[in-house]
This record gives sequence, structure tokens and C-alpha cells, in this order.
Amino acid sequence: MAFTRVATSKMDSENEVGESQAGPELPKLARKKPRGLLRQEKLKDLKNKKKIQKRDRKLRKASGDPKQVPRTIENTREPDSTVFHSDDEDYDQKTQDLAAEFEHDEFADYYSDLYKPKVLITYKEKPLRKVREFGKILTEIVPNSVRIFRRDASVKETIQAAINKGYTDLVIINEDRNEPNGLILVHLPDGPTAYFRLSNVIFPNKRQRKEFTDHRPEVITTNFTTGLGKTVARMLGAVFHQDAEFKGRHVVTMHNQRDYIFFRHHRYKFLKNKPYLRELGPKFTLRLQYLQEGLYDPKCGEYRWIMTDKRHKIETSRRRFFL
Amino acid sequence: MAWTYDAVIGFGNGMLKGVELKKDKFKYTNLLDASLPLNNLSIYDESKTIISSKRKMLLFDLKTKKMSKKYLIREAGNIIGVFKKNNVLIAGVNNGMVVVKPIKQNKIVLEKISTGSHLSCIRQVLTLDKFATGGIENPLKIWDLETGKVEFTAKSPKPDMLQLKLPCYVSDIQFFNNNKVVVSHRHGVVDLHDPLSSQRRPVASCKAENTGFVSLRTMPDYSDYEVIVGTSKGSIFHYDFRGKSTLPVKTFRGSTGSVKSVSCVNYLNQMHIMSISLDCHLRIHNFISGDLTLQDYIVAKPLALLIKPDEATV
Repeated sequence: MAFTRVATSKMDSENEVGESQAGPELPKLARKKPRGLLRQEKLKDLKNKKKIQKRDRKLRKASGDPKQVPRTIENTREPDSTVFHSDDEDYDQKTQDLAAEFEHDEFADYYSDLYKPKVLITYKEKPLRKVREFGKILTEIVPNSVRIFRRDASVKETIQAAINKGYTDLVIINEDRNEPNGLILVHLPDGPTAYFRLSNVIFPNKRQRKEFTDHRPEVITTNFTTGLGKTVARMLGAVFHQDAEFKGRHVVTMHNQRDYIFFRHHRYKFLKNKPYLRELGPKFTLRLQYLQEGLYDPKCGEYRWIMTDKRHKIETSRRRFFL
Repeated sequence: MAWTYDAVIGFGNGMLKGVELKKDKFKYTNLLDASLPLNNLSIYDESKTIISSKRKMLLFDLKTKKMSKKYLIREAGNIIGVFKKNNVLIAGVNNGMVVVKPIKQNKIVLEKISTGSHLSCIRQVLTLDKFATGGIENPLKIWDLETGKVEFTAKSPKPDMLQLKLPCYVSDIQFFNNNKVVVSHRHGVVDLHDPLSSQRRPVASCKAENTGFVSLRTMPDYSDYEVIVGTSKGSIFHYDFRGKSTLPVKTFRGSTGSVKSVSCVNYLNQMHIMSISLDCHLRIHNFISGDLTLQDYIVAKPLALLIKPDEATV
């Protein structure tokens, strides 16, 4: 259609006399198809497409070609400069630097087994029932942990008191309308501080609560790839005791997927060399909001990474992840 | 010059790296391996730098890559800044003391000056025998080196409209060529003080909301009103004290962590801004367009950035 229109206009400009003699050739209007027909055609197209795909798959299978990999958000993720690949230019140097950094950072003492963690769990000022319950379950999972009410003491005062008492980690749970929604994790005595958004808390039911034991759980942190992710994983790991009691067969998993950290607590069993898992709960999801250098100081603290206030500047793409 | 590197980066774990600016690339050379915790870096002379680590000051030769001398300080606290002036090393300690240490051991002219309860920054005046200090609830003071007395004390910030006291936390101090002083605060205020006038409150000031200022640098091109400030949330602002508005002239984006140090460098014959931030990146911004020209991941946590002294003064 467009083509004819262009052609006629060209003719117009070339000689106006010819136009007046023959009369302009009007473009034919496209007849509007009824809506139902359009949908039918679309469906037909889709069916055909699927048919072709199926046929192609069959052909590929017959010829012995490798399977096609589906495009997911994870495998089309934007490249991050802090993720190492073995074919990088200065891969060796970077891994060496990272090892040196981890030997000297705040968690080096924990990972070289110099101390046993001692964890203090508190809440917001006046916690309601559900958060208290959540804290209670956390104390049962985290070995060597104590929970207290912090009354009207500020977070900074609590931190100072905890340092004086010799605690190594501090967890503060916040709530909104009887629903736990935030978690501050402070590594004592000199930082860092992380603030996580806490969501989808599902408490263990009665049957699961019965299976809780006092054994120290094994801890697995998976899928933390970037530099920031590794630090966060080290931080989360340092809350738990380093040598687990394998007799208890408990596992605490913190799995990172698309920047959401999923917390799961299982009990495992090997039957005929096959692992069987039994969920113990609680289940919840953490999302990192900021990682701060030093102790908790929202006003004049320095941030290693922060999302609050500038989420739109940071989250430029659906395929960009930070952990 | 003896400096073969365009810049030297000091890392929190004690590593030192020399950086050469190439076209579209940084070239690194390892100067020192990770050993002792590093607090600060400063220039000693043409080939040496001073590394301060907790209570020690070490002289490090960039050419031979070796430590040459060691100075100890008997103070409870960490060194936050050192500079050299007339055969004397002057070190600011965390707990508010300034220690004067002679370079040659035979002279014992040990001096101590108490500046207040806390110290977070110490800088020397470029031409005169003076230095400036500041810290938490310890506003800017300018001291005379010879007499050891205060020459100028800034007033603590004015109370707000409800007459409530405002906090004061000096993070960095810099001097202009006309001896005016710029002070950045952790609460998001940059003040311009004039020590020669009778006014003890700032002559001009700029503010930013929701961020604090960590690092500060004056512009090298003899303009006595412009500064570059790095914030605790990762942006770099360019402020001009001449205008009436307190908003930044320009913002350099790209960093997601606190900007530990900023400097101006000459790169490809244009003025660029070099910065290190706590998200472990080294960045170069074009000053005129404000674009990010280069960035690189430097793995460990950087704390100090030293620019080739030749270019820092031009």
C-alpha cells in the first residue's frame, strides 16, 4: 500500500499534466477485519509456530545435535566486573589479591578459627508476639545465642553494651504491623553492618517444632558470586558456629538467587545412599539494603554499598544483580 | 621526577599499588604485599612516601620498594594523618593529640599538642608553617607550628531554627591558594572559612541532604572557589562558593560505595577526576562532560590515594 502511495506522489512531482488527464490512483483502504477473526489468526499462527518448533526439536534429536539451552534471566545476566572468570587477563593476580583481602578483613579471625561466635538477638523497642516468636526460633537455630529485650536502649547503646559483654554478632529484628520486616546484622566489635529487608516469614508448624534439637547445624551459603556477595556470605556464615555437630543432621542453607537470599532449615537423612530432606522451618527471604563500614551509624556512616534512596539509579536493568 | 607512577593506592590490608594511566587502561604494579594494617598515606619527598599504620610511621621508598625507617608513637589511638615539614614529622592521632617527631633521632625535641577530644583530619598549610585540625565535636582549628598555639578557631555550627544544637564532625580540610580554608563535614555541609577575617563562622557554605561528605579536594587551576567533594553514599559533587545556590554545579555518578578519596589528574590532556571508593573500584571521570571514562575493579578495600605530586600542584 505504502509503495503505491510513494509511486503516485513521485509521479505527481514529475509531471502534473499527466495527473490531470488520467486522474489520481487512489490507494485502496485496508478493510478492517473483525476482532474475532484477528484473534483466530493469531492463535493459528501460534499453533503453527509450535508445530514447527516441535518438528525442529524432533529433527535435532534424530540428528544428535546438542540440546538448546533455554534463555533465563540468570544466564543472560549482565556481566559484573567483580565476578572472576578464569579466562580473564589478570585472573591470577586478582584471585591472589582477593585471598590477601580475605586474610585481613574483619572475618579473618572467625574463618581461621580463633574465636567462637556469641550472638545477641534483640528486637525493636516493644516487640509484638509474632516477632518475639521469630526471635525465639532464631535463638534455637543459631548456636550460642541469647535473646533479650532492649527496652528503650538505642541501637548504638545496645551495640556498646554487647561489645563490653564480649558478643561477636548482633541481630536486631524490626517489625511492621505484627509482621517481621527488617533485620540488622552487626559484626562486633568493628563492623561491618548490614541491613536486610525481611519478607515471607513462614513459621515452623507444631510437627516441625518437635523435631528441633540443640545440635549445632551445618551452614551452607550458595550462589554468592560477586565481591559484595562474597562479603555478605562471609558475614552471614560468621553468625553460626564453625564446627557443626553432624549427629544432629541439621542444615541451614542461605541461597542467593537474583539478589534474594533464601533461608531454609532442613534435616537430612541418607536412605540407600540417597539424600532425603525434611523441612524444619522457619522460611524467610532476605534482601540486602545496605552494607555499612564500621558500626551502625545511619547519619555519618560510610557505606560500602547502598540501595536506599537511589534504587532507580542502581536498578537500571532486570538482568543486573549485585550479590 | 622520581615518580614513575601516576598514582599510588594504599589498601586497608597494607597492600600498595602503583597505577599508570594508559589509554583505556590502568596498569598496576605491586609495591608492597599485604602485611600490616594501613591507615594513611602521605608524601615524604620525591621518591619516598610515609605509610602510617596504627601507631607506626614507616618510610617507604617507591624506587627500591623497601622500607627505610620506622617511627613509633606512644599514644593510645591510631594515626589518622602525617605530614613532613622542616625535618620534622607531624602526626595526628585519633584521640586528639598531635605528636611532633624529629626525623633524625639525635635531636630530642618531642612535642605534644592536645587539640580536643577527637581528631579525624590533619592538614598542613601549603606555604606557611601552620597546620589545621578537626574531628568529632572539634571544629576547625589552625595551629602555628613554632609556638604550638591556636591561631584560628572556627565557631561550632549555628543552631537551627528551633535553637537546637547541630552536630559537628569534620571529615576533611583543604586550603586554597589565598589561604582560605574549606572544611567538609560528615553531616553533609561544606564550609568556606576565611582565617584572615574576624568572622569565625563560615563565609560561605553548601549543603546536601541525606549524605555525608567524606573526602575533599580543591581544584588545581588556581580558582579559589571551587571544590570537589566525595560523599558517603557514592556520588562526587562539584561545588562553587560564588553562587547563591547551595546546590552542586555538577555530579559525577557511578560509584555505589563511599568515596574515600578524590583527586584531579591530567589524563589524555584533559582534566579528569580520579576517585577510589569502598566498593573496591578505581574510577576516572571527565571533568568537563561529567562522564565516567574508565573504571576498574581493584579487589581489595582502598583507603588512600596519592597522586603524582607534580600534577597535584599544577
